[in-house]
Amino acid sequence: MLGLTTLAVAILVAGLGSGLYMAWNIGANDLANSMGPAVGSGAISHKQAVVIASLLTVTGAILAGEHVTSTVQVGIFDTEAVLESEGANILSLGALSAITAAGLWITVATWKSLPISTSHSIVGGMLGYGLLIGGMGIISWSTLGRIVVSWVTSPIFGAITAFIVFKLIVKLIFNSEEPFKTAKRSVPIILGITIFVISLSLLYNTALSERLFGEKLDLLGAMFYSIFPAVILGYLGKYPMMKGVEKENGFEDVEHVFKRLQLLTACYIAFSFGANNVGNAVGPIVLIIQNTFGNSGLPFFLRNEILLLVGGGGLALGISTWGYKVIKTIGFKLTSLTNTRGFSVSFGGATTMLVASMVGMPISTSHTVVGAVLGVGFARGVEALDLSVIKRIVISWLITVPIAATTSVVLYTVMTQFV
Amino acid sequence: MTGKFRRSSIENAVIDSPFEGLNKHSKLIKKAIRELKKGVYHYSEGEFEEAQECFNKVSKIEHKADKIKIQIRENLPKFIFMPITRDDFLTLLKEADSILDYAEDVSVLLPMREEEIPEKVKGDFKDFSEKVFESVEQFEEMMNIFSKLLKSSFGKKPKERARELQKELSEREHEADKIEKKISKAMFNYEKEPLTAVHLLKVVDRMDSIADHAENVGDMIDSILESK
Repeated sequence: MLGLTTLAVAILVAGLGSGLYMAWNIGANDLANSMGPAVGSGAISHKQAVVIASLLTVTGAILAGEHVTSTVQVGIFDTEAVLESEGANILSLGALSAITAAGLWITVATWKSLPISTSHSIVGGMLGYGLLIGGMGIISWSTLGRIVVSWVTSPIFGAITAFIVFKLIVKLIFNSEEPFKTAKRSVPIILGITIFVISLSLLYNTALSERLFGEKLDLLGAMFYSIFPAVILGYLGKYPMMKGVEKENGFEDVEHVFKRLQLLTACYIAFSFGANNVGNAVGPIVLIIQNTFGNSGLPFFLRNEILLLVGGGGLALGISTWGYKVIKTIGFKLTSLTNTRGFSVSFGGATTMLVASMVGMPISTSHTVVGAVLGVGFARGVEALDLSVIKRIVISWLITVPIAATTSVVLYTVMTQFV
Repeated sequence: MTGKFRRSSIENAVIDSPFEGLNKHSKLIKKAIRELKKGVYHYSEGEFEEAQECFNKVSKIEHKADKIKIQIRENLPKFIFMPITRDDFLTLLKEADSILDYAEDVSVLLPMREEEIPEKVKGDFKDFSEKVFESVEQFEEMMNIFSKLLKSSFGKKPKERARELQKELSEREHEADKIEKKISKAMFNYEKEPLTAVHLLKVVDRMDSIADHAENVGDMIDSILESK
């Protein structure tokens, strides 16, 4: 095979397998978490959730997954330095250790009943290997620092966004003279904002914008071009979205409008999920592939776009083979979140994830959603939250990186005994 | 995925709303008070058998509501995040439950002495009962408004209605108090039938407590709104 050594091929095959396993794991556990609010408040059935999640996750992965992929691939430690000093196989073996460690840790954590973040796991895995092979000096502390800061800020950002969205719903809709009419009037605005953020993620500094405009657009350029689809689709989209929504009574009719809007946020969150999480599975694989083939002779089926597609497919496979059960459980559990609350949580969570994806930060989906639920809680929108569960989630946050890092080191050390 | 894992995830942080339990509890209060009202009416008309049937139902409903109250308390996690504080919630539940406790007291106490209401206070007793039951009806509306307050995250309109209701509740309780004093005065001077006097004094005292606690619920919700 293109004159590759048996070892390189073995690492490549194992890496592809591990990457797919990781993607499946992420899809099965994390994605279900983000679809929970929409199913719980009865906006979509669990079958619809699986279909939406599968399709939109793949779309998000292909169209907006490149930044996170690049961060996980080369952002955590100086891969060039390792390549020069240790050679391609050692670097590939490291990436393989990292992704296998992350995948194993997710499985063990699942088995041992710990809620963990897949993003934290892969960053931990890459960090562990980097420290072992090159010591402190090789780690890209500034990028790592930014990642860690994003882990702290993403739940806060999710909370703030969800808080503001829910407060706006209360102030502008619930407190208006005719809540139902106001809710219906707000549909094109909400639709427009959502499309604006999605479009921004598609155009800001992406390969897609390069293909469309001949250059990677900066933030202002991306914002400018995003206004058009936001206005047009926001206006036109209100007709199919609100078809058949009738006035009921009291605040229930407002909930009915938001039930439809939750269909939108379900798509939004699945798209954002794909964009933010595919890199956790694909990043290390891209690194292995580049080490294996260099800059030339890369087979068509191993190109980045294809890997993102397969990675996204892995996420979709995860949710449709295992995640649907999780969605069913979560949907049942979250029934106390009404549509306006569920909408605010999903909107806050999805916006946070997508903004993080735009700047290449691999953040934790579940922590962001927890933040968003708390945000709605602070706005007095959630009737009851058990804080001890939140505490357990935060603890799991702290232990993931050291464990994934150590596992990655152990795996690498074991594997080098055989090569 | 094991059950334990699910218990640690976000969907388990959002737990069944204790307010649903509170709603169920309030509905039982409504049911019990309807029966008590019928019972008091039959009693006043001298239809003691029919009255007893209604009073028996009150006891059964009170027992059922007690179970719900215990269930709510047991299922309320120590570290819970709600739109109102845990203490406020428990006080609200306690005050609402007291309405039922006193309703049961009346339903037990009244048939202990099967005697016609003395003529000199018959009219006042009827007015007094009406005021007490009206205050419970307002309590019921207050609980409905409270549920709307939660749905709208303390929206303007239900807030305004809750404020009005609190004033009405206070007014009703005050009126009941006034008539209670009148009846009490008459009974303390009812030398003809001292036992009947003692019996009725105790009954009106318990009935007045029903209105007191209905008013307390109104005050409680008003003070919650003050802090929002």
